[in-house]
Amino acid sequence: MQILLVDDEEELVSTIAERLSYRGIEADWATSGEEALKLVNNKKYDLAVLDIKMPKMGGLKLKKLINKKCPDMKFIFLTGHGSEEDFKEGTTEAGVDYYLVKPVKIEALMEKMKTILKQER
Amino acid sequence: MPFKLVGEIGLKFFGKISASISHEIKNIMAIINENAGLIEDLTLMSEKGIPIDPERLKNISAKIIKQVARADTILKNMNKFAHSIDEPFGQIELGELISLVCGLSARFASMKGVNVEVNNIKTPIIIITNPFFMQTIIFRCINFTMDNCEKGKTVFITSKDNGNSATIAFGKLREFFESKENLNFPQKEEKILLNALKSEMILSLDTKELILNIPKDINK
Repeated sequence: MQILLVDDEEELVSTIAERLSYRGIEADWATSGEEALKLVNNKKYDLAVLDIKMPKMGGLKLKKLINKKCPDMKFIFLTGHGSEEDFKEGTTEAGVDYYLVKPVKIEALMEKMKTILKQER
Repeated sequence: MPFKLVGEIGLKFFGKISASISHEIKNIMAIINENAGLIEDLTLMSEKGIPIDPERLKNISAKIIKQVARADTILKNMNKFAHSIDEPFGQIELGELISLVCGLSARFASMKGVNVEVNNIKTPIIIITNPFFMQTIIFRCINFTMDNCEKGKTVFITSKDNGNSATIAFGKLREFFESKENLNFPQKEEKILLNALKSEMILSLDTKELILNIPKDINK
């Protein structure tokens, strides 16, 4: 599976990528929407993990732009909201099907990735 | 003074800052969490015979220390901010207050891709005012200027002592503000705050700045 991780906190996104690699999952990472779009233009990804709030281009806008080129790509959103309840409000209409609240357990992230990609097959 | 409205505006500001700080702390916790997880991964790997490079551990430790320092700065600012509500009037140093509001605004600035530069004069400007509402109006001025600043996306803030009053200038605003009618600022909420703080806001078309005029002593 080809994974793209996008979060403006470089130390977070690079560490998640490293930890996924120890679990047999190769993930590319970017720290902005612009960087992520460049990666998407050059490689096909199955799934992207996007931070909701990023400078200039947030995760929701980035999803829309990626979807234009890759309509089949799946998304998990990361949020710094206090709780899942806080985050749920108003996000289903915006196209947020899957999300995790920071800090994220790597096992929970992997589980969610596998569940989403299994559903698609 | 319309106390209820001023209270509502203040509460809204308090909520906005608290939410922003909690988001930032969540990010810091997430980084610390991943680095702790990484140490765990490396330890498990070493148990299977893959040696851990000490430099690697030093590097992870440095990252955690950096995030703890980041959280400490944010929480110190939050503590000062929270205590600004303790007294309705207090003696404050204007430069310190501006720096505090800039610290509290840092995440908003980052989200908007804007830099904020503060050029406080070296001589302290002591004022007596309502510290919380003064922070609220300064935050609103910074926010407005961030949304309407010139290309290059830097907001410059300067303070000045005028004897019985002090000024804070926020600039530089974009060219399209050719008249005060185009500005649409201050709006109702800012006007209520200005009234409560016995202050006024002026648009300087020459310097393309928003200028906040505040009394040195609100009780005089």
